[in-house]
Amino acid sequence: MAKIDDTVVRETRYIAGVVIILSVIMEAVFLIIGMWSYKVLLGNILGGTVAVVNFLLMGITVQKAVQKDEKDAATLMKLSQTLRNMMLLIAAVLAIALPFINPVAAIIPLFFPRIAIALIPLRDRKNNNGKENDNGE
Amino acid sequence: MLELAIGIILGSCALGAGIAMIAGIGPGIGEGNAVAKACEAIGRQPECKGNVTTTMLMGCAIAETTGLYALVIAILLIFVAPGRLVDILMETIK
Repeated sequence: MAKIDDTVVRETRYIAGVVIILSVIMEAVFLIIGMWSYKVLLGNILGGTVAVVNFLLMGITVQKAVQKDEKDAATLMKLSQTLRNMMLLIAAVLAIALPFINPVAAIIPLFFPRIAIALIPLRDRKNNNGKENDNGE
Repeated sequence: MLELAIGIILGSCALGAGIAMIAGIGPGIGEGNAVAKACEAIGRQPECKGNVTTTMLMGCAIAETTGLYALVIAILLIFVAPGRLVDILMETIK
């Protein structure tokens, strides 16, 4: 198995971190509105894991695709997207079909990576400020 | 008559789910084009590979969200909507 690129590992770690933080917030919201149960926790674990694995698989596909020529890269990405969509569909159907999983708590975490990406400018600004301070000293 | 109405509801929901999943095609094509252009960019400037990969990864993730919205709508139409609509039909008949 080929080594996973450092960029992919770094970004997946960041996404996983944000997914965990947002999952904790979501659990807290469920607790506050009085709807928390072990089903919510299991749904959250399923949804969060699938979201991070989906991002990691996309990163690995991108890493492989950039080593190919243009046409093969486009085909590989389309194939990967279809397969990952099927994975998400299976996870969502499982969340709805299994009685011990809360479907809402499983589907909401699938959108957490999008929020993590929206927060990237904040992370970059923080990193840039840190570097400027280091240079200033 | 009632069976026909329920059949129309179920058929419409299934049709709607199928139409919603057409949106799943877009991200695949978009991601494919983005990666193809990234290959071109990396071929031209190999030293920028890290930056290009990071930017493309984030772009692909954003593009993918559109497909995810479609998937959620399709799931709701298949698993949630028929039950609700049949309940509304029953209440209307009563």
